[in-house]
Amino acid sequence: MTELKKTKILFTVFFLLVFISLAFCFYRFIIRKNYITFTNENDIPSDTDFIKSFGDSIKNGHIDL
Amino acid sequence: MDTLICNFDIARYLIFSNNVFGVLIYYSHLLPFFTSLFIGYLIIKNDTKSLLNRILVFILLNFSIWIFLDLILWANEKSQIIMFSWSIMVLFEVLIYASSFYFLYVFIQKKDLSFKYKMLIGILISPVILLLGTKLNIIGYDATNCNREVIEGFISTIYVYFVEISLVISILYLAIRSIVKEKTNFKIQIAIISTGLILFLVAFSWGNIAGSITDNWNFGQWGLIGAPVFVAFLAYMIVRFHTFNVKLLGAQALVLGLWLLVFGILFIRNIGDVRIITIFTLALVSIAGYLLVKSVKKEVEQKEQLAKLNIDLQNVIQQRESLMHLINHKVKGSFTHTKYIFAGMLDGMFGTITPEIKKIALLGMSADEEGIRTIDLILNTANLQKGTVKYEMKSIDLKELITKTVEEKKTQAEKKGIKIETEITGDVCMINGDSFWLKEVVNNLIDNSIRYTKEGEIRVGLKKENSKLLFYVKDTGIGITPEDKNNLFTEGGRGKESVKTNVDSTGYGLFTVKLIVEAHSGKVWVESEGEGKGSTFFVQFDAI
Repeated sequence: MTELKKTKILFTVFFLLVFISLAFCFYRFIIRKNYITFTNENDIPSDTDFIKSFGDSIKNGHIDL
Repeated sequence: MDTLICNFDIARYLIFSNNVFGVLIYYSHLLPFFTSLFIGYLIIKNDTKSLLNRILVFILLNFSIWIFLDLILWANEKSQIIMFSWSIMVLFEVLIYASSFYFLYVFIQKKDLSFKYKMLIGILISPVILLLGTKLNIIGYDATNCNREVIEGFISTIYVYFVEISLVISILYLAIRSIVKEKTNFKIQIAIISTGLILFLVAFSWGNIAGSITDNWNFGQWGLIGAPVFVAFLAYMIVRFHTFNVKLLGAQALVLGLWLLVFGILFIRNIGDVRIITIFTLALVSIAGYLLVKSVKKEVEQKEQLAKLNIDLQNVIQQRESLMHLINHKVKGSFTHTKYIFAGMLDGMFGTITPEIKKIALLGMSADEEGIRTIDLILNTANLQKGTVKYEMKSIDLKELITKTVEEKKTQAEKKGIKIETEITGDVCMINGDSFWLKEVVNNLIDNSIRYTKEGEIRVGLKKENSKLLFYVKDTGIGITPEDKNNLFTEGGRGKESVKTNVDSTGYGLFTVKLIVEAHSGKVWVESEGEGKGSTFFVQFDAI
């Protein structure tokens, strides 16, 4: 396979992923309004909290998306 | 619910509302937004096929989208729109950084990035794309205050910065390595383009940098105005370096920038009576801008035409020189051939010849020798002019060289009834030069005087004046008019009267003298009181 062909495939996959990702965001946030709304300051995770929870999730083999 | 509690203004067309903090937000966003789109349009309009153009336009498009999304965050009251805009902004941010690296690579290497590197960049930014709509990017909406903020996750707060810093380091590394390795003037271009690119990225990220340090996010917005300025600068520099085919970009961007600056003032609230003045100024800027762009366009077109004509002229000159050399060599060969035939006749090679034939043979040989001398002169001039003559510089006694040449020329002068006198003062007159070519100078000037002097005398002099040596040839010949003085030392330049006296004048003799003297860091000039009053040729050299 030529370099040009490989590049074309790479760019196609790349922009397809970008498009899907943007479409997913639009679907999730605008159409479904599927997100947490924090009404209590104590519920908001601090930077260290989410890094810790992210680390724990990886350790447990489960990432909460 | 948050709308009711916080009493937000409802945004029109996503971005127009009273929710923005500070009156200058529209100014700092709409100005770079329109400027970037316009610059992008100009670049792509002129050459859609150039990879560099495409990448720069891609950077500008991402930048414009990013600015628009940022404006939504400032103005819109709906949490779902804020969540959506906030979540996708990071994608455009990393794309700006990645394409900036791509742009610099293509500019420096003059070739496309290899598949391997594209893949590497793709892998680096793929987590941002894949996790864009997840909690790892943004966790949720903060409704605890009326700041309409989003709680960012790992991607937005850590990974994006990691990607951006990696790409900036790569840009710096690429630029510095290329500048160090490059030996030609291209290194200056690399330095300028890299600086422009880094300044663009700094201006773009200024909001984050300044906001983090000062906690004043209004202040940070000003960087956005600088960003398109640096892109315009990049585009302009590339126009100058003839990489892009964009014309007039500088003037157009300047006019547009100015126009938008004035136009942007109209967006400031509480502008009051100044609005009328602003509208009037806007009209004036439009007219002045149109005239400026028109005149610059005309100038650019003229410059391009001149450059094209110059190339054509250079080609014609080169062709003419080649043809001249060919003709001269052929003619010289013919002259030499007939010269040997005449010499053979005089030597009795073809049997005994009558005195009449001998006279004709002598005339023929003399004419051939004159022809060979003329061709040698023209060939020498062409070589001196092209700089293909190599001078063997060494210290020589100019006094000795002049005395010898005068002795050789005496017979020629006496045949015309002209007396040659020498006026040489000083014992040693040493200069640094090539004796062969300096003899040509002395020979030429004395020859010239003999030719253009019908009667009287020629005075050849040399004197030392401080650290200079002044050589001169003074005659009582036909003299030179002030108009002829200007033509004398030019290629093929002759005085009007000289053609009458010397029909064989080539106009190359004095031009050759000038070239040789200047190659010896000397000066040559002529003084004459006018027609029929004789002339004096002066040559000045540095003494050693």
